[in-house]
Amino acid sequence: MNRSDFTVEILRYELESIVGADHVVTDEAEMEAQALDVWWVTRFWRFSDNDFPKPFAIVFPETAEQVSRVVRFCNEHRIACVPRGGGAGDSGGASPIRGGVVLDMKRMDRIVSLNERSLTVRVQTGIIQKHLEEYLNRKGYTMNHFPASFTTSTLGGFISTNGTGVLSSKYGKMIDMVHQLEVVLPSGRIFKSLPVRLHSTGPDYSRLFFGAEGTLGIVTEALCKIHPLPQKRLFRGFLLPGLAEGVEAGRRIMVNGLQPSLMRLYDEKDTGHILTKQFGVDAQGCVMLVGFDGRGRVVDAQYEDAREILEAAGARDLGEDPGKNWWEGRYKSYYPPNDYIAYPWMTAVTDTVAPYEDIERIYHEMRRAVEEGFAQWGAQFHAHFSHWYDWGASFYPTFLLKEYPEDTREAMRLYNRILDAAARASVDNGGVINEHHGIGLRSGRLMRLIYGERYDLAVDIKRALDTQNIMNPGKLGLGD
Amino acid sequence: MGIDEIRETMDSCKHCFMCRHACPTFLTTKLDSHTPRGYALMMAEVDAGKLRWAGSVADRFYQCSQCGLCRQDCAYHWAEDDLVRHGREEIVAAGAAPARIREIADRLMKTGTPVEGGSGIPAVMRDKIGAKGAEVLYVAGWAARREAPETIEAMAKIFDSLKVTWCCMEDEGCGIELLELGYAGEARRQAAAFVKRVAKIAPKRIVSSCPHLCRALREQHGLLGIDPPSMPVLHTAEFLAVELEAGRLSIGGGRREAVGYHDPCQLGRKLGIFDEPRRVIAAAIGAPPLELYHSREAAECCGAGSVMLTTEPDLAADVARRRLEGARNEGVRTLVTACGNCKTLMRRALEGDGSGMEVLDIAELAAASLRS
Ligand SMILES: Cc1cc2nc3c(=O)[nH]c(=O)nc-3n(C[C@H](O)[C@H](O)[C@H](O)COP(=O)(O)OP(=O)(O)OC[C@H]3O[C@@H](n4cnc5c(N)ncnc54)[C@H](O)[C@@H]3O)c2cc1C
Ligand code: SF4
Ligand code: SF4
Repeated sequence: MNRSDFTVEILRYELESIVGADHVVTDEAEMEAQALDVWWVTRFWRFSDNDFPKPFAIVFPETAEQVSRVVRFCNEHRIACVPRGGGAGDSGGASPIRGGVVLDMKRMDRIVSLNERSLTVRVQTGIIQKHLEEYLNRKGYTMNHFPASFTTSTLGGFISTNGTGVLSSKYGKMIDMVHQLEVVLPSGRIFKSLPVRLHSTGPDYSRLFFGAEGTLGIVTEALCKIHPLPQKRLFRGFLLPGLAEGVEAGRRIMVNGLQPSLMRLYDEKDTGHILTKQFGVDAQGCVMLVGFDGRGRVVDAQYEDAREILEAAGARDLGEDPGKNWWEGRYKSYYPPNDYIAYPWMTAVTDTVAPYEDIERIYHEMRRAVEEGFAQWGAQFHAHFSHWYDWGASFYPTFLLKEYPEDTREAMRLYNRILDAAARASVDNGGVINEHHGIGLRSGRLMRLIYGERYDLAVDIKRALDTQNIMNPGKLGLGD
Repeated sequence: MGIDEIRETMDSCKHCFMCRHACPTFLTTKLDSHTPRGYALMMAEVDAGKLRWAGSVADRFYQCSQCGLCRQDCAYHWAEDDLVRHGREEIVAAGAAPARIREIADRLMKTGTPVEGGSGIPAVMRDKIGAKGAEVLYVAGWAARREAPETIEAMAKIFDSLKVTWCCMEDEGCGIELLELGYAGEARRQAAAFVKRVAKIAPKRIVSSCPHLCRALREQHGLLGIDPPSMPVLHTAEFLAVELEAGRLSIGGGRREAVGYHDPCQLGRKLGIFDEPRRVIAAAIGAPPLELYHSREAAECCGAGSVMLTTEPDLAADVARRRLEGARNEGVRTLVTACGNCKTLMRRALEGDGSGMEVLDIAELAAASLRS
């Protein structure tokens, strides 16, 4: 935005009249603290002495009405409006690349109501997921959404990236966890989807906003599913001879209608790393952690069947410790120092989902594309398969370079080339990249590769809803 | 303290979002610049010459209550709270301390207390100041002296019932608040003078209602190169527990419903004293206190920690309101604490809210249930 100090002051005053003077922040400290998410590129750029675009104001609304008025304000002045939850995304989604107003949602953290009959909770979306879970736990419930950024990201952020937690094989992705959404559209109008999503009263319009990353509106409230705290949680570790045996065993568990809440299959490299480091076991193969939860007898019966399938695939039982220890320390590896993804090492996750007939091939192709394609940089690749369905699965690969060009632009070019190669390996083999990490700025340019001409529909929808292109512009490859 | 001592913390925390869900200031303001990561980022940017200690950047560093919740939550227990304190030293060294901080530091240097007009001498203390040959030197702390003399009256009653002779000091300035504000040199001088005064009094035990002072004498004076006092230093909760277990203190019969205990950060998380206050409360009311969802090591801060009660009274009161609301929602009507700062702040935060909630110091609860 190129405006004089005078107009900025006038605009600021307008915003203050909507949310109150205390909730419009323009100071240097907050601008600095909000400048970065966890995308390697944003951090690399900033820590390489470059400046980052800043908004002209960070606004903290408290109600959907206030959000609506701020969005109308942005429309009137043709100012970009960037929703921000925890700011802990890893694809630059909440970066205000065109300046404008950042709408920080974290004051909108009110729990509106708990329904213990239909098992739902109605909640504002700025709430940190951990705080929502703590509230539910005190009442004897859980949402069963446990992503690694549970302690810091918001419900709205997870809805907007259609996030996935570690128990997704049973409880699903965000889109499976929500009945109803309230969204402030780019026009400022407030849209509330129907109270249930399984209907044939026209399309389920709420679907548009799962994974829209703030480009189509601001999600202000959600009616989420909840579950009673499980009577029993059971975890177990197995060592399979190889990845192929592991994928096949996982497939059988899922297509036979078993409902493991946790199923994590580590590739050989990941296995080598975690077996010795976390479980003190020295062996070759692929570790699979499985977990079941719910009513005690159902858990035991399901586990027995899963164990049979695993043993038939040649699995060795490692006992309950690996699974239990992993569950109890599931966030630990995200606290620095993280010996796997520590900055300044160049890293990115290229999570991919595909049907069973393709998923393993994609893994091998992606691995080859990264390790062989970038061998001169010593590129490393490791992955685990963590979200399983009865039609396919997703794996979570990380590429890692400990050395890269000193020149900032050269390094970023290299980063993008690796990302492109990984994406192509997925797309060319029938996969969809990303599974849950969002597109943001990181992969916007890949949307045409992934969708081809089909992406015109997304552009049409964006243009129809956001006539002035104010909602989080520049993201999702929807143009500036 | 040089920046290299906290560089590892800074370089870890600047990339990390994990503990912010616990930070009481952040939860109140929702500002990223009030998160551990925010502090580390700003400090790294100052270190890299891209940001100056000025305006909002310097200001934010005085809005951390040094509660240690971030360190507690952190899987590797990075000393984020030390990083903030180090930041304050850098700010002072750069001559960039905000005006209100300079004024408070000035008062501390002149009077040993951070508040205008000093801490005052409550009536109950008057003839105890400088009393010779007393067994216990009782250090109430400025907040209790000025805002909650009933805590001191309660301790007087307890000392009398135990037939323990006690005395007080007029100037209780132990240097810790100056250290917290970033004035390490002045803190060292004040701490040394404090220790000298104590040595002159030569009590058998030091008992204090102020967890900050206890921690200063047990741990932080060491950071300033000052030896700990030769006699034991007990917080009142510990003193009461010792006397209770020895069978000298007889309390009970003060049965009350809905009593909760708020672990003061400096006493609980920092000094690891969790059980003694609970034992005293249980003896006083005949049942253990209600355990708050966030208690013991994970107890939420009330906002009064470090110097926030004086540097940021309004923000601190907002933090306290959150803590009180949480306790109320868990069914607590009487919240017992063991820190003059906590009590002062929580009482201020309750003013005019019509909730009928009561905040008591542990000494008051014990004194009220003394068996004659
Ligand atoms: C350590 C770590 C581990 C992670 N692990 C996981 C994981 O296991 N599973 C997972 O799914 N993700 C994971 N992530 C990624 C990240 O947490 C998710 O992308 C999350 O959705 C971001 O939420 P946030 O609240 O931090 O949102 P932000 O980063 O603030 O925003 C993300 C995007 O959503 C938009 N947005 C935010 N709030 C709203 C709203 N209310 N309405 C509309 N748009 C909005 C923003 O504009 C942006 O485009 C991890 C991140 C970190 C740092
Ligand atoms: S103290 Fe630990 S959890 Fe908190 S920001 Fe630092 S490294 Fe992360
Ligand atoms: S010490 Fe407490 S107030 Fe300070 S940054 Fe850590 S959690 Fe926040």
